[in-house]
Amino acid sequence: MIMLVDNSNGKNWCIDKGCTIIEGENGAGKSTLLDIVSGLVKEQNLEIEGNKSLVYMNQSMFFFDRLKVKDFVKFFYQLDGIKRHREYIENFNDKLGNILDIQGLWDKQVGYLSGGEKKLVYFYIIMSLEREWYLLDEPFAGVDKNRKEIMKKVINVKLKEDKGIILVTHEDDNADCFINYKVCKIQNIPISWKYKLV
Amino acid sequence: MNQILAFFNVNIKLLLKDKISFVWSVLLPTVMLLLNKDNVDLSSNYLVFWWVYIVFTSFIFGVGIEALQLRESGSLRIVFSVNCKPMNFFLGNLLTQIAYSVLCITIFNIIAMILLQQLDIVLIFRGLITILYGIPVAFLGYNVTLLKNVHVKSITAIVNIAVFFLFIITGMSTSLNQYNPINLISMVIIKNTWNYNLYYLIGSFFIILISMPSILTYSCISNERR
Repeated sequence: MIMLVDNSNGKNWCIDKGCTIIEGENGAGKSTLLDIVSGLVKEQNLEIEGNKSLVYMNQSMFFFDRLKVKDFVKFFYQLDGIKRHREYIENFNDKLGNILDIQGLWDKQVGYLSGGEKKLVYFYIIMSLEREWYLLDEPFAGVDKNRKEIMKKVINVKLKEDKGIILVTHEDDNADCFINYKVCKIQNIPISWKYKLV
Repeated sequence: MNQILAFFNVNIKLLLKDKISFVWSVLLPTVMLLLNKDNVDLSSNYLVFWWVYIVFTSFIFGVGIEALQLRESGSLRIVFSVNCKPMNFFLGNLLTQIAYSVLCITIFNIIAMILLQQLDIVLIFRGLITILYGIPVAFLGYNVTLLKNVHVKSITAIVNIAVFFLFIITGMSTSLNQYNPINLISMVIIKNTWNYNLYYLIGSFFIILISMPSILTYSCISNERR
């Protein structure tokens, strides 16, 4: 469980394992909330507990367009201390039924992939890392139907492993495909970071 | 260590793809050497200024400015969420620029030996020692990441102008050179006395100390975009 504690008023918000879908209007603060939960943004009077083992896929993710996919994969895995990067991602893909054509993407330059392909590669790398929590900010935006299905399958595999997923998406009509999901609607009150959850 | 090597590996791959920067780092000193060929001997200290220039520009632009640009591009959040520590990010970038400086200085020295038709293997090692003297520059330059309300392109432009100015006045007889880091570092290397080295060591220690907050508190959150 991840808990956000507001020390100014003693209120807290608990996020249990499973799939938590954050909904709200544009500018309501969904991405900012993920920034806070991930610990990348520190807020005064706010404590976060339970967020030590997580990885965060945010919207601004394009990084090394001049690298090949294999170098990109190696970079992230090396950050995480994973040594045999090809073997690792192939094992992960194998566990999912070889839904991603890793061989086809391996030697391609990241910048030459389509937006949806890039997103899927990022998503796959992030989801292959062993964490208790996965924070995903608009993972389905700009992705075609087939790739969305791949992503949803990966999310469900993680949910079956009792991992926590916090998902920001506008695609509320697809929520039913996730096992054990709940929806949190967020409304922005224009006082610092304070959110009212419904 | 894994994280430092991860940044080092990816930075080197990206640097080697950016051939223009690499050529510029070696070409400018080479052109100046060509213009002054008749007045230069390998045993003179002329080359020291160029070694220091290569190291100075590598560390200023490749460490501090690079960290600022990467942050403001908004793309570091995903990297830092993979348990990345700010110190490892800094050390990875520093290691990259050390390797880059080694390559540039070695190539420049080989070109110098060919142009001047002299062979001096010791020259290569002397050039590489310059890199050690330049390390405090990387720490000092990292303080630009503390600037909050200035646009990253403005900072880059200001630093470009400042470095160019320092380059122009280096070697000139002007009182401004007592404040010119390129000139100061060059003089320490040229004089190579205990006093100079000691003062430089003490000064470096303080520079590194005062720069640590900028490294340890480095945030991957952009000030300019979400």
